[in-house]
Amino acid sequence: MKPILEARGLSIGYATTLIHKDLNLNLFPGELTCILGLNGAGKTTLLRTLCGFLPALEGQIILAGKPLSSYTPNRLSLTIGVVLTENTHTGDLSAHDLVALGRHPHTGFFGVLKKEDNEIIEQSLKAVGMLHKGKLLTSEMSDGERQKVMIAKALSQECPIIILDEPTAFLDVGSRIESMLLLRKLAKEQNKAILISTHDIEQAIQMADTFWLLRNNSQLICGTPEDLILNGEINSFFDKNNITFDIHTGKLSSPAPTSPIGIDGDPLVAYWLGNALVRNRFKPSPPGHNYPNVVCSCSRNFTVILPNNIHIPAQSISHVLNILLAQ
Amino acid sequence: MKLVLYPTLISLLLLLFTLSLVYGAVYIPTSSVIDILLGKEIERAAWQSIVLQSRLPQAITAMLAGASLGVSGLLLQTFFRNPLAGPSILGVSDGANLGVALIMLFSVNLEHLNRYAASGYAVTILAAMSGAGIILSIILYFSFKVRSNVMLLIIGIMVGYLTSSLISILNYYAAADKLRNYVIWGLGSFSSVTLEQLPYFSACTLGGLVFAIMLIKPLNALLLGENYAANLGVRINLVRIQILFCTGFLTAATTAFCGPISFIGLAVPHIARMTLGSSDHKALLPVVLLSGAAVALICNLLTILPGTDITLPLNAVTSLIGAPIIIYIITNRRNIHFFN
Repeated sequence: MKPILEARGLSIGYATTLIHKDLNLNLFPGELTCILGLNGAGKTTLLRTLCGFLPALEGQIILAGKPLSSYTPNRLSLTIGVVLTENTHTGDLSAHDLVALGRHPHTGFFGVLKKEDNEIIEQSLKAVGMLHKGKLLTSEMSDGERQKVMIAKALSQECPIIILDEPTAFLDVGSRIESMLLLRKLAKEQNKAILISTHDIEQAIQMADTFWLLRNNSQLICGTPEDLILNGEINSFFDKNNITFDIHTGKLSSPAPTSPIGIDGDPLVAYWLGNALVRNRFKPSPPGHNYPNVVCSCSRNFTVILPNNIHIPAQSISHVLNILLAQ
Repeated sequence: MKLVLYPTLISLLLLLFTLSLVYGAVYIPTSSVIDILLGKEIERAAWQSIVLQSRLPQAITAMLAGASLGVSGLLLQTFFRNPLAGPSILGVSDGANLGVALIMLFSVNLEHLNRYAASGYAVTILAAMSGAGIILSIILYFSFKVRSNVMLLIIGIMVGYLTSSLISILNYYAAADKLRNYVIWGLGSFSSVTLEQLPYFSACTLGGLVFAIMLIKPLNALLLGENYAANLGVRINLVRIQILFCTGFLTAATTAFCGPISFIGLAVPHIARMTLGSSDHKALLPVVLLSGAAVALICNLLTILPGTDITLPLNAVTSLIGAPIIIYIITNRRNIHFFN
């Protein structure tokens, strides 16, 4: 497969500060790619450079076979659509009017919409599930709806690449999942190359085809999430911050729990008991002899077996925790 | 909404325009006004000259000036993404003011200028334009230095203060009679454009308004912010210059001819946005244009206190109408979607 966007030996930053040098990357159509990086790692700077808002300090960005620097503003606006974090002042615009702004690169001098433009606007609204709310004013939308409309704006621009800066940052859990599923669907169904930055690693693992891990003073690491998990790249990614990535659960937690607790019994109950144990700095483990064990019969019936073989019945996870913490 | 709004506004404008011709400090019967307008001879020559030489140019001036100020206010509010931006806020009208102050207060042959009123106006206009131009160049220079529009707005306000302080220094050392003329000019008036000057004034303002209409598409994109607009293919640096130039030109032309008129530029875009219920410039700009003209006519009509022959200075009336509107806007934010 040929990348739609590639960068070779790319240095990014501002006139006086170099943030990253010698980055090499490929963005493929039909894929959802997530940039992960801690605050200050240069995610936004990289996105802004790839969008053409910031000039590359060195190296080359090749967009659909041609160098980015050779693009006119209008050609570029037909190639990359963006959804940014900046404040907009579109409160007085309806969803339809807002999506219509995405048609700008296609319309004439006064931006008058033709029949074909209106059809594309409706298709874009439909793709994000907002067709029935075309007349809703932006100021009356929820954050999730507004984000969907902004995505529809990028869709109506009809670009092969869509770049989104932290599209889920201000959304509630439901809208987050919805937006990510939507982006994934768009990548697959419309064969778009979608690049997003996010802090939500757990969700990114579920949704992304490719990860770009951006770290200070280090190369950009690209790969399929699962590969990066198994070869330890993701773990070392979070190393410095007193946070560990648990390779078994795909979750982030505070420093490695130490005292092991054996868990046995109903898998669902055991899973959530494990969750509670990790939070309390215990290490969920297979049943063993040298440490306490918990047998989960059902969600209302637990037995805590201490190493000296004393059995204590418990009726809830809260109860189990009280017993274990008292030891 | 649009379908009803435009005919309503146009009829309102026609009504106000007619009213401006019929109603004034001197009572002239409506039938006579119609006769005069139709070119018929009437008994009193004085009436004819009042209607044709005074009321007609004054009404046209008011409409053009109101439209210009409203449109430049809209451009600035969209560009700075700030609901309290207006032509006077950037210091552009202060710049024009300073130019006029220099001419009016310190020109040695003011009497000479007065005698040849037309050339005197030409000098005043030139001074206003250069004053506005200088301030505008300063703002433009800073617009490339500071990226944030809020910062640019603050710089504009500061430059405005600097200019005002220069003006007050000039005032302090000016001769009393010249100062009086200047103060009267500063109160604003739509009556200072004579029938002979009207073509020049119309050319300036209409030119500026056409230029503004040509900026509709980038203005819409700018609602999303500069980065989004750039991503939609807008050449931001070019559009910055165009918008600042257009507003500067409209403000300078109006200020030079009519004096520094407050509040219309700030309040009209809000009135228009509230009545239209949209900030799509394709629909909004024409509404601002029409309602700017209408508001200016209303203000001009109100300068003659109804039922009396007492006249008020124009700026007193625009402030009386404008200030409560701005206060209403600030305290009723839920009516203003523009904020979020």
